[in-house]
Amino acid sequence: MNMSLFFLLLLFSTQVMGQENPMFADHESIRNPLQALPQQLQLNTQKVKLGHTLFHDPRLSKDNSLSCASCHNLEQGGMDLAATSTGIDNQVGSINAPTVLNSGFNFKQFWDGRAANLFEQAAGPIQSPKEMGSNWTQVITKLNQDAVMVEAFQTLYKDGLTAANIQDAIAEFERALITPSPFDDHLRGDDKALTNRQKQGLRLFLAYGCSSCHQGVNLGGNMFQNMGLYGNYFADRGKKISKADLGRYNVTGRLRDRHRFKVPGLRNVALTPPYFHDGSVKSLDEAIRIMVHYQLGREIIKPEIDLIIDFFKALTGQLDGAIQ
Amino acid sequence: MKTSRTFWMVLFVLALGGLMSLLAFYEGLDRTHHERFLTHLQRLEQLDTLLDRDISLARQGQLAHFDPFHQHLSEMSKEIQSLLIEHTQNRQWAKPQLLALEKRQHQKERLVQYFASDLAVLRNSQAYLPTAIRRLAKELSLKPDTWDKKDLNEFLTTLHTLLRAVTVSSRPGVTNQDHEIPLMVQRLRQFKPDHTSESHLSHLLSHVERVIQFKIRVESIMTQALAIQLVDSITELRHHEALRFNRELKRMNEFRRLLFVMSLILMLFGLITWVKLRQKAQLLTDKQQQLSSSLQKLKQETSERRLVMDKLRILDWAMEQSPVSVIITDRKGTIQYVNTRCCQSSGYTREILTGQSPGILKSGDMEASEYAHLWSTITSGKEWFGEFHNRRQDGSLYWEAASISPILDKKGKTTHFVAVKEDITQKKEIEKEREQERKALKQAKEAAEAANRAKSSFLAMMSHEIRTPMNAILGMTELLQEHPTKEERKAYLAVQKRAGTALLTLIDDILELLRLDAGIEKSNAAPFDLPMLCHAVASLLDRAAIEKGLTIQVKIADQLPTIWLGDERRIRQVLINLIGNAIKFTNQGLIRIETAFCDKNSEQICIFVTDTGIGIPPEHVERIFGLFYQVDSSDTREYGGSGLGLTITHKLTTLMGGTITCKSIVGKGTTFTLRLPLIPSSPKEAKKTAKKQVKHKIETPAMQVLLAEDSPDNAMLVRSYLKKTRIHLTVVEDGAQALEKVRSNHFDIILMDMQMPVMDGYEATRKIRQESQQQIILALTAHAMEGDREKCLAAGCSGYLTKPIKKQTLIKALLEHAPVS
Repeated sequence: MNMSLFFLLLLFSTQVMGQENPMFADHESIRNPLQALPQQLQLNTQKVKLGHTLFHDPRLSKDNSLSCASCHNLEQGGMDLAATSTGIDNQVGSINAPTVLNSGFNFKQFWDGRAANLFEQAAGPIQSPKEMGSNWTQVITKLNQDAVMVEAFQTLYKDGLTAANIQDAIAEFERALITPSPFDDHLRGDDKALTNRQKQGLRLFLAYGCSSCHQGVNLGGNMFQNMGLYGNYFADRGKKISKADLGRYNVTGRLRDRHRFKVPGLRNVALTPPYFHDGSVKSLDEAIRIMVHYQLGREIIKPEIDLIIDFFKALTGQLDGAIQ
Repeated sequence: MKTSRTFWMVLFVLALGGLMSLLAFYEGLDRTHHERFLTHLQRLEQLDTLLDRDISLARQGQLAHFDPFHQHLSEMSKEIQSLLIEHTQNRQWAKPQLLALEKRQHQKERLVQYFASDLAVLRNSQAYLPTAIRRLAKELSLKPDTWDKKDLNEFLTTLHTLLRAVTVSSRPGVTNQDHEIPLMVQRLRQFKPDHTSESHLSHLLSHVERVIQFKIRVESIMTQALAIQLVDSITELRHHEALRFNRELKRMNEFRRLLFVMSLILMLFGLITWVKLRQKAQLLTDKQQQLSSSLQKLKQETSERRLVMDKLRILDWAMEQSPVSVIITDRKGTIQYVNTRCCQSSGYTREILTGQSPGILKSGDMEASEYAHLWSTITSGKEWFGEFHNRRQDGSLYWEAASISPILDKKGKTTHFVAVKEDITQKKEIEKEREQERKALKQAKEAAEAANRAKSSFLAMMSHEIRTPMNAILGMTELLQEHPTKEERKAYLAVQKRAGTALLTLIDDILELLRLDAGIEKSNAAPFDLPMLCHAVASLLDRAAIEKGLTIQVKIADQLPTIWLGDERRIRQVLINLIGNAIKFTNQGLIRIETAFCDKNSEQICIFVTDTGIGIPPEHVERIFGLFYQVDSSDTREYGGSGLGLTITHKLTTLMGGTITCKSIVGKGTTFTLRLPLIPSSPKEAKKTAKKQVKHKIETPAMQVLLAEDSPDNAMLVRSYLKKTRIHLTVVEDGAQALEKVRSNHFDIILMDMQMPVMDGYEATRKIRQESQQQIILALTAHAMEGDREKCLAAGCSGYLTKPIKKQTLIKALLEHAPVS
């Protein structure tokens, strides 16, 4: 009864919110390709807490050697600074680990967008033989021996400790991983939030058309794009094309999706080298240069790159202390 | 009534069952679910619309970023998932439609993704074109000499046209100039400017190409995306849902109607039940009140009862221990309880008695009327007291004093009877004894009183009777001493003799009476001649009769035996008395003696003495046999007599075992009837006895007799009696002398007067007895009273003679005690 009532209320509130959302509510904001992080998130703090524990729990891996945090170090911009991550038994991954920070704003997860959301994503690495190498039966058996864990699940979920609930808790936690930055303050009208150079970098960012794709709240993460719109990136790279390089093609099997990747968000980009899905570029200015060349069909001079890098630094945000 | 109740019950159960099954199987009208379904659909529709709007906006450059696409799309996915998860359970029809919807949504999403990507590229190139042209123009302006003026002009014109065409064509919906653009691009590529300019141009043209290329793609994709309208599916779903909901509504209405009917039935039932229950409740309340009050009462009664029970227990114990019998019967008299004592006294066990009637105890020797009285008493509510003579089980009888009372209830109705009985058999016996004792005592007392009275009257009579002749004797003696003439002396002596005779008669009578009273006399039966006796008595008194001018007749019945066995002397005495009396009270007429059997079969002899005298008044008839009784004192003067005659007669008759009765009519005469139980005997026996008597008379042996007598008259009398016998008599005057004489002489018999001076007879007898046991001592005493004889014998006398003594008596006594020679 209580549950259904709550559900109704929730439904009603959603409806009301929907109704309160007029067609052109934030006219200016929709004109601006770059959007600030929301100041408030509606999350279940208990689930966030449980997800935090699970995120750092090595029992989710086959040999209890790795946790989610092993590759997605929250201190390190939500990734591991490696081109490709190392899974159990020192297995080398096939793709660069994207940051987990602000990942809740991505329209899909993984480089190839094979996960519709964080919930689906969470199951991926755990069961991937190259990554954590475990399976749900194993994970649940291990966690079931932890009374505290079991109790935590039972208080939060009707059906207690299940794979779905583990995914849900981790996803809820990951949604909480947002990093408000000086740029967000700037977007909200704080003129002093950015330095002049950063402001110049922002202008360049917009002028060069970076924001065509790196747009929205996450400055990316809301579309797929072909790698190498102006020039053959993979041919120029010289490295053999791997399966991972096929991108979204691996998901859809459509020729159009060959070398198509989810545009990564640029928040905390200064913290997350190496860059690109293959982790082939270590420096940010090189990454910017490559991006301008292959994706925008232009060339950019060094001083402008530096200005953009300065702007990028303004995208470096802080996790909420409580999350840490 | 019963069938209708059953009918109602069945109806009730059916209604209840139907209601319950309806409630169990019907999920109810799922309005919330329905509304939620519709809300989801509405939201989906809204989101689709929003998405289409945002696509259009984005295309027109009104939307700078594509986050809203994904917000809408993810929300749509969620809505569809919700619909699939939540609403396909009871809407199976909806599932394929929803899945189709989801598929279309995915299609649209994919198209939107392509749209976004391509639009981004298009926008980028569009945005870059002015910059690229500006930079190219700047480059060209820096090197004006390298270009032919005409070429430059054409180049710039073409470029300008191209840019305008691109700008125009890049606008959404514009397609007419598209085909010219590649031509212009181609023409521009034919120009060969310097390296830098060529690079700039190349960039510009590639972007132009992208604009043209992506514009087409964007337009195409957008058209495709917008062509995917979820609204159709949603409308269809809505329509189906509306149908479903209506069906459900209809069903619910039917259900409601049913529910209403069943509820009505139930309510009716409830109402009926309520009314009934209320009535019952009222009843119950009343009953409860009654009960509580009864309970209160009961409690009180219980405590009272406990007290009563204790009391009862004690009483029961007391009853069981009671020395009296207790029987409790019911109203009909059936025994319900008997105590131990009752069982003991009756000999019956409790088991036998219980349930029986108390009549079981009846001995049968009590009057039925007594029981009837008992019943009438106790049934009328009163207590009955009385005695029962009952019979035990072993047949023995016993007496019981009983008190029977009814136990009444509050209404005064008899519920039980209680009999409390005491065994009084012993008491009764004791009482009987006491009664006898009392009677004896009374008799003794009466006797003593009578004796006392007799003594008084006797003394008074004696005084008179003795004084009268004494007076005559002494008077005559006085006259004789005054020297009377011979005739006078003769007359005087005659008077004296008559008086003396009368006196002696009196004394004889008294003595006779005393003897009879003392029971000394015994009837000695001997054969005798009855007719002769009658005649002898008649002749004896004939002279006296003749003197009064009377005749005596003797009549003996025929066939009457002559010789009878009886006490002739006493019969004679009786006859003399009777005839003497008859003569005395008869002034004229005759006196008849009649002898006959009293009746044919009897052996009793009746002797009738009849006179024609004055008679006896009836009231005196019974009393004439009393002592000193005469009809009146005047008669005594007229007729004289001691008044002892009939008393003696009566006593003598009784002594002989006979009776004497008297019938008399005043003025006509009196008949005395003497009944004697005589036994007829043979004449021989009579003669033998007579001879024996004669022989005794003659043969008086010679013997020495000592007489101790202080009275010389008496001594002279005895001496004269023995004058003609061979008995030698020695006389002493007192006991002491007698003792002295006995010591010195031998006497065969000592006649001892008891009242003597110096030493009385008793003393003397004891002294003599001390010296000789063989010495015969006969007491000779005037103490003729009862007990004197014993006194004399106790003193040691061998025999007992009373004074005045007759000659024959004396001789007979002497002969009896004469030593055998």
